Amino acid sequence: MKINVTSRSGEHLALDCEPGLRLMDVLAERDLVEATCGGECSCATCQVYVDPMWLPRLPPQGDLEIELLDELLNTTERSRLACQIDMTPALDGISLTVAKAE
Amino acid sequence: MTRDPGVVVVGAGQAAAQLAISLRGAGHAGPITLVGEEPHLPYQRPPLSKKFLQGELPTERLLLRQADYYERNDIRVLTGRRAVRIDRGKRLVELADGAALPYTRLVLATGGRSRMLPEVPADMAGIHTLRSIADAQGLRLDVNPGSRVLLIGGGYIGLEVAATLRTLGCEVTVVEAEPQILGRVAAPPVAQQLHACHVGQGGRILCGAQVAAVRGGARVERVVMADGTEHAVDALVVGVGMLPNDALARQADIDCWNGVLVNASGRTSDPAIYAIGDVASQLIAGSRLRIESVDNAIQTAKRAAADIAGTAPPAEAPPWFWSDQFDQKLQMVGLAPAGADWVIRAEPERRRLSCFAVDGGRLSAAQCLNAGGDFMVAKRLVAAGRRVDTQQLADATQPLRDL
Repeated sequence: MKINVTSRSGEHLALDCEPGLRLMDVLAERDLVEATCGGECSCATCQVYVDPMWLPRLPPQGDLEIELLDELLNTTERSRLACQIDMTPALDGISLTVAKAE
Repeated sequence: MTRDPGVVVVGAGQAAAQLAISLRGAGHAGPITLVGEEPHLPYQRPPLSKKFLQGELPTERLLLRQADYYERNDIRVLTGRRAVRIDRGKRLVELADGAALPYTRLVLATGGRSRMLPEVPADMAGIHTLRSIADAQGLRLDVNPGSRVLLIGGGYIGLEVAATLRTLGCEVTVVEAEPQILGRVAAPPVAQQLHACHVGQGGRILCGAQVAAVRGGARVERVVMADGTEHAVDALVVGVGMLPNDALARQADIDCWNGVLVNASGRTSDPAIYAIGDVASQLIAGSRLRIESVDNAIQTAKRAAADIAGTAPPAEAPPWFWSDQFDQKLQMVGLAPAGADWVIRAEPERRRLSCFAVDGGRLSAAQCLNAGGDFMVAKRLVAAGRRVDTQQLADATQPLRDL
């Protein structure tokens, strides 16, 4: 599977990904997000802006993710926390931009 | 031309990994070697008391980075190797197997070890502490649904382990010497809500309870309390904090006192040697303090890496912490003064509870239980040192972000 990522510095990357990982795992492995809490939905350091055409294919947001994103200052309608997205074959080719750290 | 021996890191935990990651991120090109005693690549410890203990997370998912990462970034990780001596004159670290690693900069990321109690025998089966993957695996294999487990210490580790073991169907009893759980580290209302949750889930918590003796043969059988009561147990978990692994530094005459003393960049009394993570004793608001947390491991590692690489230090950020017990999610920011006067913001029907410590009109710390949004805002307010109105803080009908 591939993930098309625009990093915080504006670099475009096509990352390989195995199904079953969380999007956060793939991004952390390339130092693209901090992921301080390791995916516990506690730190909100793994925010990404997902390309609009991919948004409907993502698993729905949980209450906790919504609450954390609501309080970040750089949240948009395309925001998701990468720790809450399990990479399934349906997401092969997903395109996203890593949000700046707060 | 002589080759730069590079940076040697003793320890291979979260702080050590972050130091290597940040050095490479800063463009540092010299050799980097991590030396760890455990057989694993650097891994996350927080899940050890939670999802990993519960069996929901395989070992490879604990790793902070996969093996390929270290190869790609030319970071050497020596696992299962123990450093035994620092030769500061020759700038060498000696390993137990006789190897000697030269360094230009040495970083001590040695972490800590579980503190034991004199009342607890060292060589009896069924007695556990929790610090490493091996500890968690050992505990998991030693309990079954219905096992009677007694946990000494009502701190975060003890309570998280108690919650996980209860979820696995064990009969758990937490004994805490202080009058309440989390006595020194949580606002009383937060501690009370967590206490009630454990009891509601069928766990037992005994406060003001001192262990007098632990009895058994080859295996632990009973715990005798100071008031004479006895608990029959199948397993015992001791969660009474950790001791810093500062012996290497002390033997090398580096200044230590409850950890390795460091300055703001993480340098020890030897300018070629740094200490980061749990073992580092920092000067914070005039007091020497060790902070045991993932965030602290990352922040201290980033500061030391910036100093070594000669780049700008990262922005100061208040320390933060989290704990998950059953379905309760606690997020905390800032260091609350002892005996802080907490401002309470509560929505009991939604199980939300946030406690705020206000110091000189400014928010100095917040503890948010099932209130992640409050935590996110509080993190910003503490970092900015913003003045806050305590009445507004306490009013749960006003969004915190409007303050």
